[in-house]
Amino acid sequence: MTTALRIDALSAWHGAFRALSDVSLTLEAGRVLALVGANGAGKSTLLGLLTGRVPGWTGKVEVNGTALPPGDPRAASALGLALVPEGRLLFDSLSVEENLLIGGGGGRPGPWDVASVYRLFQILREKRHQRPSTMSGGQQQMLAIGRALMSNPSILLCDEISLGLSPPVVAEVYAALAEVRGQGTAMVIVDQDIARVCATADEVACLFKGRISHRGPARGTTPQSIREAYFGVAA
Amino acid sequence: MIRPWEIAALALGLAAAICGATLIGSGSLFLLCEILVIFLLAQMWNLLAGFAGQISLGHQAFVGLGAYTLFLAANETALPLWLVLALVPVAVGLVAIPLGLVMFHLKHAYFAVGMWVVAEILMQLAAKADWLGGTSGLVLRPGGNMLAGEPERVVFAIAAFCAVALMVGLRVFLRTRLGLATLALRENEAAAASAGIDVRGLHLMHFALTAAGTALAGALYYITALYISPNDAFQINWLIAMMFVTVVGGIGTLTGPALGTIILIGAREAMTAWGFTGGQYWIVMGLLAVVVLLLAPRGLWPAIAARRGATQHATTEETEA
Amino acid sequence: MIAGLIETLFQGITLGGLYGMIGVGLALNFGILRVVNLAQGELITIGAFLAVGLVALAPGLSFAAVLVGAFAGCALIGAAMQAAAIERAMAFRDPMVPMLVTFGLAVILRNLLVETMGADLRGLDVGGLGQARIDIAGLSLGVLPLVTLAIALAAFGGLAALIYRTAFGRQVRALSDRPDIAALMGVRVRRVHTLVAALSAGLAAIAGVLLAMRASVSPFSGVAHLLVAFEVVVLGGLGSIRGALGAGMLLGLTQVVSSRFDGNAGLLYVHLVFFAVLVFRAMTGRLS
Repeated sequence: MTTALRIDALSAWHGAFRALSDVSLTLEAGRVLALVGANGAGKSTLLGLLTGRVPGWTGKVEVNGTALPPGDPRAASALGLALVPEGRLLFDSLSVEENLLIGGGGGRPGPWDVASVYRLFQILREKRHQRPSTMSGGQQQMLAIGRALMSNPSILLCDEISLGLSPPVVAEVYAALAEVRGQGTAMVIVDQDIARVCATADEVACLFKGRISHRGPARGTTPQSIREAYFGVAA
Repeated sequence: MIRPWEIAALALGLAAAICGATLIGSGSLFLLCEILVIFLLAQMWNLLAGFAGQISLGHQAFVGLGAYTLFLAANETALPLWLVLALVPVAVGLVAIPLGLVMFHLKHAYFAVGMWVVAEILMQLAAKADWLGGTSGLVLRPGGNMLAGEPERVVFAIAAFCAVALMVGLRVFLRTRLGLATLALRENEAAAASAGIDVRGLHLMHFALTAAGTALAGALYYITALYISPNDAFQINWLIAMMFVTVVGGIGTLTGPALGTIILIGAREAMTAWGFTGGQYWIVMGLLAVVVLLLAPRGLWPAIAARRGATQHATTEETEA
Repeated sequence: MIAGLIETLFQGITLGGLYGMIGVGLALNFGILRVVNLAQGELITIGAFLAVGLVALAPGLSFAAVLVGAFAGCALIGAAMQAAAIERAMAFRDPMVPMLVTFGLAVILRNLLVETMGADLRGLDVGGLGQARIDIAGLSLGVLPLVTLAIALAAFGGLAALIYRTAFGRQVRALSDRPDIAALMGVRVRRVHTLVAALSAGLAAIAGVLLAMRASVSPFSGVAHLLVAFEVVVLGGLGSIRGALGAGMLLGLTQVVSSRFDGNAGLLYVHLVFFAVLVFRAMTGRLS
């Protein structure tokens, strides 16, 4: 099995505040990692750094064996990282279909194109000429996932994937992610819904004040066991 | 409140202004008057843009308003010229209050462009007004007679004292509650408003004060020129000078505009003496502005102050070690 | 009476097309790059002088070639300014810095123009076109204003097609919405910025050529053009291309109608209408 993502002794700063301290992680190709932790624990910093949006960091990050340069979103995209950002951050001056087309601008080959994204999310085909802001939150999240898939990533990064969505929509989104995984795409999923994300993931990593406080198989992980990991003691 | 050395600086400024006015030759006085006027104008623009955070592209309107008010009031009444001069900032400041109330409906870029359009409208109206001499303008004839003596001596004394008083006054002002509120406004308008600061009132105060100061400086300048026309008094070049001096010298600092004025006029005198054309001078000034902005976006004075602060810091560390 | 009214309307619309052209480059720059380009007026003037210079150097050149030449020349200047200075200034988070940099660039461009071309007024000789008229449905319309309007509308149409129908336009819009996410989608941010700046400068050149066909252009006229451009952009809704055309029409009609009543007022009534509309919109909360 090859390693999709290798993070070694990674530290990051927001000004004087140390957002990540000495984080090391590996993710094998095709595996799914649940990244959990409280607000401000460093999850978004980690995803932002992997996608070139947080430039100030030290340590080493390798994507499929190639070193990731800091602060370069295009390089991150070319190496096979794609982001489903928190809050979706869709392009509202573009139609649904144009959002997908621009997602495929990187030119990496693979199974995902407009047609296959439409097969995954039927609703997007119906709404392809609409503006993203005219759609429901769930549909927007599907578009954000579709847009990220268009670059045929080897690692899909999903930030706060179920935030603000109703339970049936969350189920639909996770069903789609399972299908994506079936194509051999590795994933890092950040979600407050620990039970839900751990049911999908292979492994779980817990961030606490910028450090990995717990690492293990996702199966059998419960909010209770995570809390123990957070506080370092059985609650 | 005002500190002893600041009172001393005021007294020294007054003495220097009077000595200079009596001792310096007339030719040099014209140049010094221009320097002081540019400094006063720039400091006004800086107060509004750099401290109160409002960029106006139309402050030349107040130069023209001040100068026309002076010429009209001096020519048409029997009031002494220097009394009229004292009334000019009051009159223009009062006019600026209703104007400000209208303009503050506009924010940011809208405000900046809106002010420019106000200046253009005033220029066109002045050009169409026969009672202001139309496009050919007015000659200064206080009470109907040509101005006698050497007005530049008085203008210099007033401008020099105003410059010193402005520096001291602004230092003192920035320590007061209102001054601190102004600084808070610059940092974050929304936060300042939620902290109970009357944002609109403060903006209006700065707008009216800078209008008054700009009008006074404009009136001073045109006393030495003796002649005024719409295309001259309302020209955009006044704004260009204010912006250049503030931006290059250091926006949001008190010393910056002084440094900027010295550079602007010093470079002009030097380049003219070396035989460069006006166009070449302005190309150099434009390049200077671009380079300064790219290397030190807050202007030269903050960059110099930071460097000096750093070396001072380093030396104290050395001595402590 | 009716014919006179239609004549006035026609003049207003053709002038409006020209005003729209003067503003559209600024609108594009502001809408996409979020930079208030104070050098736009100088680019318009330089466009006019490039056309005059091209005609002087090669008298046989076709009008289309002159237009393309002026467009290309200004586009190069615009791209160079963006790549050399404005892009760097945009890295400082304060939007005032790039605006002030363009202020410095405007001073440089204006004085370079005066130093190289002199301070004289220049215009494009359009030959008999200036007086030519054609009769449409009993109305006698000037050919030159028609040509001006046609070029302006073609430029607006071409720009809209480029922005809303092409892959490049998609990148431009995405970049304008969310620059950081667009970069993550593989959009070359600096390259798109430079191309947009070039395009906006090229549009300024077209406006300059149209101005030089109507009347003589002074090398010092950049500031006046900039003010008209500002009025068009602000009235049209900051950054809106379609809005720029509409605002141009409103201001053009204002100018033509007002000059019937008061021939000696310059742009006074245009400024007054602009100011009134702006303040009215702000007071009724229809201004962001």
